[in-house]
Amino acid sequence: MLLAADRNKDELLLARAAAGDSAAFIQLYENHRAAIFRFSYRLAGSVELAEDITHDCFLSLLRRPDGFQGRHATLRTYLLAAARNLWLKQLRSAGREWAMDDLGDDEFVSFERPPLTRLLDDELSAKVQEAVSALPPLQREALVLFEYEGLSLSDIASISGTDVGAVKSRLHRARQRLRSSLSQYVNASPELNTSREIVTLEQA
Amino acid sequence: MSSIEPELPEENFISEDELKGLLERWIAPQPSKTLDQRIANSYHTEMGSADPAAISARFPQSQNEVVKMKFCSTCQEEFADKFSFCPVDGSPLSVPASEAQPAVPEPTTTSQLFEAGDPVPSAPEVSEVAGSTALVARGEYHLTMIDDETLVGRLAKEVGYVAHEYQLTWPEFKRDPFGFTKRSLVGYGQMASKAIGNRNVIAGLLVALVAMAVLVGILSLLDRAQPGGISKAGFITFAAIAGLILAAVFATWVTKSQNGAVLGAPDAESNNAVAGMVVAFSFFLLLVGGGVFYNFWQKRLQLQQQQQPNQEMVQFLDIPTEQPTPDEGTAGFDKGKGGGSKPKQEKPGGGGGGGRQEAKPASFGKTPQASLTVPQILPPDPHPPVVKNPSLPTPATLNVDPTLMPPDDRQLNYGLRDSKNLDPSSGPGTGNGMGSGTGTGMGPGSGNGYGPGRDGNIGGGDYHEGGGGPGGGGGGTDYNKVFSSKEVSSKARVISKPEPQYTEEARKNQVTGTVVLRAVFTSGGQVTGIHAVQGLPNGLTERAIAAARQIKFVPATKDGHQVSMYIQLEYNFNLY
Repeated sequence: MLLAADRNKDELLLARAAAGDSAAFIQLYENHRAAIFRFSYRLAGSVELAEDITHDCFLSLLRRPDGFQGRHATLRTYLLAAARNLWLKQLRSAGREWAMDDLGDDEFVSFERPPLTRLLDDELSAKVQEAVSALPPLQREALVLFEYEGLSLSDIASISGTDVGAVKSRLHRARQRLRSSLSQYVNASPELNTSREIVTLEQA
Repeated sequence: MSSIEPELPEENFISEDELKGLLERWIAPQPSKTLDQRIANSYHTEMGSADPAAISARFPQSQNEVVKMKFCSTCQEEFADKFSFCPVDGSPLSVPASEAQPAVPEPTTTSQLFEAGDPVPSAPEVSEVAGSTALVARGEYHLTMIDDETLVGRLAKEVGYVAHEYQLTWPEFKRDPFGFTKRSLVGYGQMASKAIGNRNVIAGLLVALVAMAVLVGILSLLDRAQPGGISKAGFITFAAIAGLILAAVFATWVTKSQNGAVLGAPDAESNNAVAGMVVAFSFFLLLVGGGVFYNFWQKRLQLQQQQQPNQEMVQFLDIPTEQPTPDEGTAGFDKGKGGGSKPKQEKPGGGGGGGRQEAKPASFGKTPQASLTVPQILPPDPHPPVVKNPSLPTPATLNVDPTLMPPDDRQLNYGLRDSKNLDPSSGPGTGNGMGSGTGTGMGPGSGNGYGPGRDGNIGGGDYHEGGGGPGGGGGGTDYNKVFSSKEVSSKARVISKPEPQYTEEARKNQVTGTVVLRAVFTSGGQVTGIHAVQGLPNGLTERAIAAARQIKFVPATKDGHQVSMYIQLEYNFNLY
């Protein structure tokens, strides 16, 4: 959740960046880079596409800084909406490209975990990703915005260009689908599952 | 072990918290450095900091692509980095001092990336090239780097370079073909205009064009002056003179290194003049060659049209390679080897005759329906039937092999095929037939057949059924025989084929294998003549035969006739 002060700060930074202040743009970029990239990644499902979307998103901000109207929404919401539109555009274009490897480098994986735990975690992560990616686009974006970005229903509604009721029903249907597709992993609460597997292995 | 086992939920219900926990397992990666770099680049492009130094600073790797050169202090020339000693005078080569500048450190943080865009004057680049470019700009010398490689090696390298360039540009071309073509054209146009813009190039071009125009003009004048066109000797003389002039021009170019000059241009610019001339000559030759080729082509077309006056192609006709053997004579008239519906070649015999004792000979007309199986009820009569008491119409027939006398659909009265009399007449014979013989047939013989001979059928002599097809001589193809799959023009096509079932006994005894049957797919659509070439015990062969009988198929054809065809059937019996 961004505070009102942040909101004003963002507006100020954007005005300065548009005037050619590179420091202001860097500040803006660093504030929102991670969130926009994460969101794009969860929608598009690949690091390459997510980078493309994030790049285009900031580029559009640079090209048309007046497209953002501070009184309607926060800059974060505006950027998320831009990323979402770029993703939909990519989804519709016939000749879209898919990267071969969907997972990035192991940068984000902690190497302190034992190998087996890491393997199982990765597998579960991949399964969850698979299940979320299998959702229809509109349900997927609603779920990602709500669960991962922690946005309010009204913010999601303004990003998706719809009303709160529709967002609610999309979220509900997305959860239903996920419940059925992830039901077999529900007992895979990490500690229990891992320990059981390890015990089985050790006994063997 | 059992104490560690988690309790499985009774049903597949996931609570809100569990779902949230699961979703949290999906960790998104962090944005990479390349993204920062890309956005930094875009920022600089967008904000218009298009300072060349800034751009080069944004691409730290581009600095490494500068070709390293070594300098010879004796002959004052530069050589490739791989040389340690001067290839000309053998003195040791040195690295120019300007090259030894430390490289600009690569930006590491986001803000450094952005700040790298600020214009920074890069002194080393300027001083490094200053020495040699000054000489080149004054046109005093052209630096040519020739490696100590063979010509073929260098050519291969160049070709490899072109291929590499092609690989690089192909995706761009695919992405935006029109833009790419436009950019290329503009680029080449600029190159060409720059080349033409060199001093004395235009002069060379113009001189060459004027010279050639004069040559062509003289040639055409000579051609007109002589009534029969220019003579061969004249042409050769002229060509020799033109060739000499050209040789002289090129000789000037060759000797220019010994202070010769072309067109009075200074030595250094003779090259430009010659280049212009060569371009003009090539262009002119291309024009003349195109004209000559076009002329030749037109003449060839005219020649072709003259060879085929007033003919135009309507359609292609397929001429069959295998033509049916032509008939050697009319069937049954004592000519040729015979014919008939029997499968083997055999000469037919017999004939018929008749007449109604009329004055005129039997008239011309068609023969009635021929049949050997249906007995003759009504003999042919040339007079149109006069219906007195309405009755079931009965067609006239002849007792002749139908293969030898195909149905005749012409709107004619019955009559002899070879008669010259057109007035309906049954002829002077007796017995209610037609012709001069006796009986209910047609012709000079006796009986209910046709032609000379006795007791029916056709062919002369005593009654005898012929064989080997309708041909009077060769017999032709008998479409009633059974063909092999190679002989037919289209093979039988199976529509449905039931699978044979295992017998209980065979299943018990674990019998497996293949039953091979040979059968005939008849022209009528039945499967006949089934016999086993290879069988299996316990009733499987019988099951296979039963299944084969139920095959539905479209019969094979040959020359448009449906024919019978031998076929081999294989049934695999497997137990799994």
